[in-house]
Amino acid sequence: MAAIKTLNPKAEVARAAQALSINISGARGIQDVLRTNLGPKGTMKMLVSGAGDIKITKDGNILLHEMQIQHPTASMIAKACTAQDDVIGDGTTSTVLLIGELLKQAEIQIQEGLHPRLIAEGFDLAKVKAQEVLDKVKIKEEISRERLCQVARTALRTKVHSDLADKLTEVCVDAVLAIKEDGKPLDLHMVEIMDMQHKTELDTHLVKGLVMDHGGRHPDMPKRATNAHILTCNVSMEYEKTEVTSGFFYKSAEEREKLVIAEREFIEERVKKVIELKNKVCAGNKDMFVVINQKGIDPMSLDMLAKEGIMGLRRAKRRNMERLSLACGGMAMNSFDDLAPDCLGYAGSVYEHVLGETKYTFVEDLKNPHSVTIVIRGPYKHTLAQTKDALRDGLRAIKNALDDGCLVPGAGAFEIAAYDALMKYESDVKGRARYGVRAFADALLVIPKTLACNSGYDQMDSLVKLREEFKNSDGTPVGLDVATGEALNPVDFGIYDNYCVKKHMLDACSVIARNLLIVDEIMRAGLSQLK
Amino acid sequence: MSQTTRELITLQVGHHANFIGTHWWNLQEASFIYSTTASTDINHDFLFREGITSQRQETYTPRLLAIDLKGSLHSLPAGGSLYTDVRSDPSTSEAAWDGQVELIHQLSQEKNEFLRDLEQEDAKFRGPADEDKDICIDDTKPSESEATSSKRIYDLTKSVKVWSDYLCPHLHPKTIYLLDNLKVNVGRASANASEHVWGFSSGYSAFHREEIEEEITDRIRCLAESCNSLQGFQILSDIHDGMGGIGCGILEHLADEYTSKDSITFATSPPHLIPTTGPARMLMQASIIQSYTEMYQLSSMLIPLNMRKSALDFEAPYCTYPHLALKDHNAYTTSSIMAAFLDTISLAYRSRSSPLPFTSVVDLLTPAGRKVAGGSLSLPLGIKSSQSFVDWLHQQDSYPVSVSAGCTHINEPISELLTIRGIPASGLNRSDTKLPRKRFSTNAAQLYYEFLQAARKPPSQRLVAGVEDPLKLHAPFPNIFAPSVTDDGYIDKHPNTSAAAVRSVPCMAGLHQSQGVADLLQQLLTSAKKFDVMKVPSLLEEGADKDSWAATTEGLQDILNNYGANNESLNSDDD
Repeated sequence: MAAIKTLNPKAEVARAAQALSINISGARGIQDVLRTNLGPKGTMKMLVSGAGDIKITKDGNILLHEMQIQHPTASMIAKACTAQDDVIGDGTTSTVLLIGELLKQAEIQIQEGLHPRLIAEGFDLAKVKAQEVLDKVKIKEEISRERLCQVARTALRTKVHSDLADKLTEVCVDAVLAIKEDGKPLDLHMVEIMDMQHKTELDTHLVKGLVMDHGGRHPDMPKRATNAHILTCNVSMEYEKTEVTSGFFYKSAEEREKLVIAEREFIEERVKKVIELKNKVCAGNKDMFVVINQKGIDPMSLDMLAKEGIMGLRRAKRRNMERLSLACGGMAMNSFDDLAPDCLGYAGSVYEHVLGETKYTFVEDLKNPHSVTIVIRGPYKHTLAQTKDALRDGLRAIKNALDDGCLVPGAGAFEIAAYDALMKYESDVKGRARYGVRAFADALLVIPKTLACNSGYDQMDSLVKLREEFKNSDGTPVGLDVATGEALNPVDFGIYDNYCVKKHMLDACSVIARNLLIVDEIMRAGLSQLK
Repeated sequence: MSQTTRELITLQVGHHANFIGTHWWNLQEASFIYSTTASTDINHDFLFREGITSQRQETYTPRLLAIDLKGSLHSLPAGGSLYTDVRSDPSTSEAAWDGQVELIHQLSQEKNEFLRDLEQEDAKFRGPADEDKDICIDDTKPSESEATSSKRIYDLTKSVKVWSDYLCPHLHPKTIYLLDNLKVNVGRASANASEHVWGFSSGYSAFHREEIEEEITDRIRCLAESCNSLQGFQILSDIHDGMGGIGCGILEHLADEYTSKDSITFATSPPHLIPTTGPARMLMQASIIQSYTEMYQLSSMLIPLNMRKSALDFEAPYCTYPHLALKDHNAYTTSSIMAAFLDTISLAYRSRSSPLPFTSVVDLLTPAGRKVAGGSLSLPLGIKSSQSFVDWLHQQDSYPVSVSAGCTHINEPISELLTIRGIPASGLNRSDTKLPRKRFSTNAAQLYYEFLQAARKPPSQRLVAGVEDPLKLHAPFPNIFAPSVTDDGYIDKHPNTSAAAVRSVPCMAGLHQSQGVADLLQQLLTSAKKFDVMKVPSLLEEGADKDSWAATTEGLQDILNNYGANNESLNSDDD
C-alpha cells in the first residue's frame, strides 16, 4: 500500500504499470481527437456549443482550447501545446500526434519487459540525432518573396479552402514585406487585423495603411479627407476634474460656475492650439486636417473642430498611436506646447465607412507605410474568426521563415529522412537504449501515415512508396502528394515547413513523452477532493 | 434638457460579481418607463447606450463589460442574440473548407421556465412584420402578452445555476468576455471541474497575457469611445479568487489610461461558498487580502460587498435584514439583495433631476485617503401601511443593515451618503397630522436629512439624495420578503395570506465612512500578519513568497494608518 494511504485514507493512488497506462491512454485519447485534423485534407471541425455559439477550426491548438479536457494527462499535454503555440504559432497537431505515438511505441517495448527509463534514454539520443537530420535537410538560402508565399501557402492550405488560402497568402506576404525593415526585428503587431461582418471571406484584403474601428463623433465633421495632415496625440480634450486628486469645495453656486468656466477655458486653449496649427499648414491649399487622439474629446471640443473642418477621432487604441506614426510619419504628441508642422503625419486619403453602428476610418494612400492593416470580411461571425485564426498562422509562418533564414521541405519529407537516419543510427547505439531510438523512429512516421490516411489512401501502402522513393532518391527530400498518394519532391511543388516549428516539435514531444513515461505513481489527494 | 449625459461604464469581473450585476440590470430594466405620460426620475442614459444593429433595429444596451470563465454561460451565447440571430441549424457549408467537415454538437443546455417565456416574448418582436420596432425603448404601450412573464411568479431558487439563467436585458455582442480556462492557470487540474481554485496572482498574471489584456482593454476603449463625457467606472469584482487579480489588472489599466476618471470598486465575495479543505480556504483568504491591498491603491473608492459578518471567516453568521425572509443563502438570493443596494445607492449619481457628479461622491466619502467605505441597506424601508414618512421617522425602530461584511455604521460616521427612494410626495405626511410644515415643496430626502442632522451628532459631511421611483421588482427577482410585506413594499401587521408578489418597495441605501470600516481593515491586517505563506503550497506555486507577503501586509498597514488614532489601541488588543 502506498505510503500516502496511511496518512490520507481517501487518497487515490495509481502505481507503476497502472500509472503508465493512465498516461498512455490520456495521450492517445487526445491524439485520436486531433488525428483527423492533420494536413490539407484533414477534416474541419465545426463545434456548436450548447448555447448555439459556432466555432469552426482545424487548428490543433484552438481545438484543444475548445474541448473541456478532464483527463489530467491530456490537459497537461494540452497546456504544453498551448505553450508551443505561444512561442511558434503552429505545429500543435503534429506535436500531439507525436507524443501519442511515442507513448504507443514505448508501450509496445515496455510490454516486452523494457524499463521505461531506458526508453526515455533512447528518446533523448534519438532526439539529438533527429535534430542533426533536421539541420541537414533544411534549405538555407536567401528567402525570396516566392519562398515566403510557398511557406505561407503551406500553412494556410491546412486552415482554409484553397481559394481563400491563395488569397490570404498574398495578403500575408504583402503585409509582412510592407512592415519589414532591414536590421530591425519583425514586429507582427504592426499588422493590424480588423474584421468587418460584411460581404464574403474572399473580399478580405490588405490596406496599406490603417483602419480604425471608430470615427468622428460629430454630425458636421467631414467624412472624407484628401491630402490629410494627421496629428496623433495623447492629450485630453474633454472637460473633467483636474488630474491631481483633489476635491472642489464651493461656497456658492456662482463659485462653482466660475471654476467650471476656468476649467473649460483650459481645454479650449488646447483645441485652439490644434486649430492654429491647422491654419498654418492648410493655409492657401486644399489640404485637410485630421486629429487622432488617444484620450477623449468632448462634444464642445468636437464642435470647435468640426467648425474648422477638422476630422477628430477620440480614444484611439494605444497601439494605433505607434502604428500611426509608422504608417503616416510624424510623431505622437503628449502635449500641445510645442506643436510644429513636422510633428504631423500625412495620408493621401482618410475616409469613413459605416457598417451598422460601427464606423470604420480608413487611413490610406501613404507614402511609405511601415504599418498595415488586414481587413477581414465574412458573412458570419464564425467565418470571420476562422479567417482570423488562419491569418495569424500565416503571418507567424512568414515571420518564422524570416527569423530562421531557412526552410524545411514539407509533406512529411523530414520525417521520412529522419526515420531513415535513425534506423541507421540504431545499430550504433550501445545497450538497450537502442530500443528507445527505434521507438522514436517508428513514432516519427505517424506524420506521413496520418497525412496519407486523411487524404484517403492506404497508409502502409503510401509509406512503402515513400521509403522506396527515398532510398533511390539519393538525399533529395521525398514527401507525400496528398492529391495522388504518390511520392513527390516537396521542393518542386513549393511545400515548405518552418524550421523552428519542427525543431520545437521534436523538443517538446520528446520531453513530454519522456516525463510521462518515467512517472510511476499518480496520487490524487487533497485539493481535488473538494466537494 | 440642459444637462448632459455623464456616462459611467460598468465592469463585472468574476462569476459572483456577474450574479449581482445581472440582478442589477434586471432591476434597471424593470424601472424603464415605456409610456410617454408617466415620468421617471432615473436617467438610464448614464448606464445604457443606444445602438443599431445591422438590421437597422435600434437597441438600448448596458455600457457593460462582463468577464467570466469559459463554460459559465450555459444557455446564453457569448455574443448575445440581439445583433445576430442564433440559428439552430448551422450548416457545414459555412465552413470555408473544401474537404470534410465534421459537425460536433455539444450538449445543449436546458433553459429554465423563465428563459423560455422570455424567449417567446422576444420572438414576437422579431417577426418580419415589425422590423422597425425596437426592442427596449418602445414607446407604445406594452401589449397584454408582454406583461405575462413579468407578472408571473417563478421559483427559480433551485433552477438557477449561473447568472445567465435569469438575465433579462439583451447585451451587446461585445459585452461578455470569457476567459479561456487553459490559458488561465486555474489551479491544479482537479477532477471536480466545478471547483476552480485559483489565487490572486494567477489571475493577475492571466490578465497580463497579451491576448487577454488586449481584448479586455480594447473593449473598455470601445465603450469609452462611445461616451461623450465619461465620468468614471463602476467595477464589480470578485476578490476571493483569481478574478481579483484580473480586476486588479483592469484597475491598473484604468489608472494608467483613464487617469482623470474615477473608479468605484465593489469588492464582491460569495457568501455561500465555503471551502472545505484547508489549502483552499487559505488560498481564498490570501486572495481576499491581496485584492483589498492592491485594489485600494488603484481605485478611487473601495466598497466591500458581502452578506457575511466577516470578510475572511467563511462561516461567520449572515447579516439579517428585518422584513426579509431568506430561505437559503444561495448566490441567486443573496446577490439580489446586493443588487438592490447597488441600484439604490447609484441613484445618487444617476437621477434625472439632480445627479451628483461621480467625483463628488468619491470626494465626499474618501476624506484623508480613507478609500474604503461601507454600505448599508434598508430593504424595505419599514414604513407600515398606515404610517406616513414623518411618522416613521420619529418611530423608527430599524436601522439600515450592513452589506459590507458586517461593518456597522450607526456610530458616528465621519461622512455619509444616503439615498432614499420610493416615498411619493403624498406619503410624506398624513393629511390629518398637524406637524408644522417648514416648506411646501419638500421631499423625503430633505426631511430625512433634517431629521438626521437634528437627531444624532452630525458627521462632518452628510448628503441625502432621493428619487420618487420605488425599487420595482419584476420576475426574476427572487421572493425574499417576509409575509408581512405588502405588494407595494409597506409593512402590514396582519400578513396577507394570499401572498401576492411584492411589486415595488421603498428602500434606502447608504455609503458610510466610519470606524466600522477601520475595524474591518484591522481584522484583515491581523489575519494577514498571522498568515503563513510558506504553508500554502498553491500560493507558493503562484509565485508568492515571504517577502511579497510581507509587502502585502505592509500595504494593508499603510491603508490602516490612514484610519488614524484607534489603530494603536486595536493593535495592542490583539497582542
